[in-house]
Amino acid sequence: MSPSELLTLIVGVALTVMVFSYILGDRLFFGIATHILIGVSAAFLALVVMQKVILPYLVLPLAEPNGPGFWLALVPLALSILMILMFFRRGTQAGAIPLAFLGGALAALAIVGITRGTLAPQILSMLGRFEPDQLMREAQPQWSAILGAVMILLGVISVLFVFHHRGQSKAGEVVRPVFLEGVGSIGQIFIGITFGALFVGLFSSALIALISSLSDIIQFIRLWF
Amino acid sequence: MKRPIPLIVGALSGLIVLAAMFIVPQGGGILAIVLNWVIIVAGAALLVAIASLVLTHVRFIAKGKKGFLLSLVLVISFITTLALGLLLGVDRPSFLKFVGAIIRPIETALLGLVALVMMSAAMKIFRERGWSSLTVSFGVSAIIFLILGLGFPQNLNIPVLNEVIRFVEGLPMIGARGLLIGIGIGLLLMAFRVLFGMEGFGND
Amino acid sequence: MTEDHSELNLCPNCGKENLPMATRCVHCGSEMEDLFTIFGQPQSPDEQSEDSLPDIIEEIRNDPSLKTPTEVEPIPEVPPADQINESLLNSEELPDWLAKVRERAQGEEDAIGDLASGTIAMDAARSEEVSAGVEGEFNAWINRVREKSQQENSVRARQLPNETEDSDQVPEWLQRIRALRPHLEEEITHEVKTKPNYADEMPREWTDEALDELRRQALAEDFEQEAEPLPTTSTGAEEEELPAEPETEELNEPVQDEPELTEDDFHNIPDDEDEILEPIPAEDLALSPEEADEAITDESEKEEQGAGELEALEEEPEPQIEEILEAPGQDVSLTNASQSEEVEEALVEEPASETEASETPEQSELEPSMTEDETGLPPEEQAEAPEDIEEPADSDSVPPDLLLLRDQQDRASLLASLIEQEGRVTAGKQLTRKPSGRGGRLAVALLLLIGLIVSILIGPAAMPTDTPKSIPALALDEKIQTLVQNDRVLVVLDYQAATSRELESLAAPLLTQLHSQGIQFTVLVSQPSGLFLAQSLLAQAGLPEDTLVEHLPGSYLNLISRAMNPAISDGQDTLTQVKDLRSFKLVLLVSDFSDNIRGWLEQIAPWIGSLNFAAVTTQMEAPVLSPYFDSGQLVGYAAGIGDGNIGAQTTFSYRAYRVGLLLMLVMLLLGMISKGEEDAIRREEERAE
Repeated sequence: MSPSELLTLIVGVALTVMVFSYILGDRLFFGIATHILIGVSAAFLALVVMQKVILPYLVLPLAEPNGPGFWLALVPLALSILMILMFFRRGTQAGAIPLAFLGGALAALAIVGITRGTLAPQILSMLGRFEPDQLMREAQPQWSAILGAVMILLGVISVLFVFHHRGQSKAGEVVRPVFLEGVGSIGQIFIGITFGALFVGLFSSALIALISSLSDIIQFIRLWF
Repeated sequence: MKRPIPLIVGALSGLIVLAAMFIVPQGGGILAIVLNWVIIVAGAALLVAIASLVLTHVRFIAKGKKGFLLSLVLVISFITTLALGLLLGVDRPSFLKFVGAIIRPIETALLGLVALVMMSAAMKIFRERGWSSLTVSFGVSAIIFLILGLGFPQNLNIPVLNEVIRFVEGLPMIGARGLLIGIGIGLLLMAFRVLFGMEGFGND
Repeated sequence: MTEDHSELNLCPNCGKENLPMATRCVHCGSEMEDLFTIFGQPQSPDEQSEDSLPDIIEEIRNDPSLKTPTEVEPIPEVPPADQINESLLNSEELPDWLAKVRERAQGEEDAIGDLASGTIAMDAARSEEVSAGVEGEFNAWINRVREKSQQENSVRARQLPNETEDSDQVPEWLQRIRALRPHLEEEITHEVKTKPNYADEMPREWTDEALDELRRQALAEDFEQEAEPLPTTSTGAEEEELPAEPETEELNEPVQDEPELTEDDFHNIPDDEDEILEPIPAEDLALSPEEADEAITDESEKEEQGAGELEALEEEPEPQIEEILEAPGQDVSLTNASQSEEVEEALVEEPASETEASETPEQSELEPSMTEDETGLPPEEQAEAPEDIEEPADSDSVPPDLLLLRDQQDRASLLASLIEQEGRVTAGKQLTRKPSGRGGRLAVALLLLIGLIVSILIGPAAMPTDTPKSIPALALDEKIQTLVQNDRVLVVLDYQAATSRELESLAAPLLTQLHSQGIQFTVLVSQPSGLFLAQSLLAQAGLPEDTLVEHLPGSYLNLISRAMNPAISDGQDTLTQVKDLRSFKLVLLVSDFSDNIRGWLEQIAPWIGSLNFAAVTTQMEAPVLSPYFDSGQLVGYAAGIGDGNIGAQTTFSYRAYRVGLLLMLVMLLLGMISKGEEDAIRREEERAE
């Protein structure tokens, strides 16, 4: 093990132990570790943004007044200056303009993207299961396929009713019919199944990270004993 | 009262993007310009946020507020990393190793802590939430997927059992699809609200 | 509002005063029915007497001795006969015209005669008579009748206590009792709303003894008798008057349904500092202007708001306090400072600690009734109340107006004392701390840690090689198998350091396979952290260190325009080596966030139908991606420990992973079992109760 690797291991183990001190109720070392993380991440992020975004996309075009991108770069420059004005009390209102620009553009992208990339394909996929070639094979009904298609359709609809239910209950005073309540309960079952899988997935990911951290600590200890 | 200029700017940028996406392929050029602006402005916003964060902690240190030592740690680590990056260059492997050696163990350990927290949460979840179709199906689903995660049923290599396992593994897809469609519809409505000036920006 | 002794009936037997509607003398017990029967009339004479009323007036008008210079205006509305009777009965004199009418009545059998005979019988019972002018008395009587009719029309809701009968047929004796105890009336009003649940088996019907006792209390004739406890029947009777309203309100009206005055509106104690009880400034009790307006316009609402304020005084409003405060008109009944102090103590007194306060429903049911007993001023309380003793022996001698003023004064003093108490640390206040559960969490965490460490120390245990992969992972493998040499694959790294271990174990084997097949791949990182994470991944995959890794600012946003039109030249083509997305056979997204993968599928995929997308993600994100695999938008994805090679790595303990899952399984089952057991115990307790 090279000295740099050893140093990396020592730093890593020390930081890991500091984070795990949280289990014992410690706040100081845990706080130090998290603040180191924030400081290093912020600096690294700032460096990457400066070097990979601001310099090539904004500064370089502006550095060439005769270049094709000069005039185009003035707009983001103005918006960026407005954004910087948010530092000052009187400039907070000016900061709303670049934010509005971002919000509007991303909203438009979302409209097209969600429609073409999620809603349409998912609904078509759901309905596509009812196509005859999916349900019949050699003139024989495929009962498992039929059952699956019906279950998926009903499941998705019932989950959507759960959304409906939540929206109504927030407003209050709206009493849902028993039928909708029943459908919503079925939807809750499907959501519960999905959440259960997500829960296990998250725990699995966290467990792998925990085992990795513990393995590093044990490996470090074994180096000395 | 929502201010008109941000609303106009938001609606205008959105309409330009929408128009560019519907004029294919000529709209691609306009879209590229607008999206470049978006990337630059988003980068500037990120820098402003980082500067604000650091300035806040510098202020804490200057005022000697409670916990200013942690702020000191943050500022020192920030300045050190920034100096090293400017000195060595962001793409330098040694610099990347330095950053990775700090960020990686902390983030991994933090995610590991999540596992410990989830363990105690698993005990409480039913006591706190009671019995309902959601909690019962959640619990049963979690137990089944934990058993599947152990790998014992798969290793038995029983064809019928494997079919059952595959059927069970496909069940979360139904709820996820419903959630995706529901969230998609919600986002769509929100996007339209933004475009039509029904949502404020900044301090609106 | 003044009480008139003339309204009281004298017992024909003992000569003592009784309430006008009393059917039996409260002193000697003899019948008083005769006083209410009009001679010559049937037992229900209302209709007939009403019919005879015009005749009476006509007769009086025609009487020459009653002629006046000024013409009396016609009566706009005919008053009820009983009011006339009462007016006649209440007249303190016997004018000449009345004597004449009576003389005629003795000889005739008409209605006037009947009426007169009744009044004669009443006159016999009266000893004092004041003489006055006939005309003045008649005019005064007419004016009274007119005023009464006008008042009845305009303000029916607020009838004066000296009226003989309420519009809702409430007897006058009850009205008097209510006047003495305004809170009782309010409670009765609440009683109509809900059906009270009686915790005891006391008789619910009024008994003569109970009525007598109440009369005595109301008239305050004998304080010594009042000091004695009521018999069982009277308690039951009082519960009829004081139903277990708070408990029904508690059931039907949750705390959230209280007026908008929330706890946060009144206290400045942060939720996270519940261990320290800080004094609450008196200003916090101040009502908002709107509330003040409401308080001015509606006194009852004010009382409710006051109750809301009192609730807000408690950092954590406890059920007992709520029950006390929800008792309607409770503060009205507090007629002395000592009682107000009692309530203050009840307010600030922390109920039994939550651990021991596994209060049975039976107890909680009893508490409201106890509260009502206190507020309803039973004899015990009245005996203890010093100001009650200071009251005159005959409460009738105290004008009801003054009683009301005293009520208001007591309420004001209660509020003032509450405000004074604000900001003081009350001696009786004992905070109970909820168990934080830190010990439990620590135990569970240590259990998991110990289990994992022991598993790691035992030694590496590789995952069985024959463990089947998931269907999406198999599909991804198949897709990669179909690629041929020199096909181009775009690898996008979009994950954080936290999940790097899991994702690298999934992506590295795939990159190795692609490299071995002679596939040309381009690596883009969309996260800044990807710059240093890519090094680790490439090293694990055995790829050359000089493999170009490029940062893609804005992730997929940067490529939308290229996806739309590969021929566009925005002058920034040199910024990325990805010129044309159509040249790639596959885009492999390595991401720990399904939303980013979704962004690629939503923004890029629709523009290029021929481009295939695959994903490598964490097990947590796999369920969210499954619909996209089902719809064919993803050709496959690898997720979880089973799809990668982490289980086969010697640096990773698969045994520890299994132990962790097993412990989680046990915890979940324990949670379910403990909840089930808790429910069973509760059910058992309910059954026992």
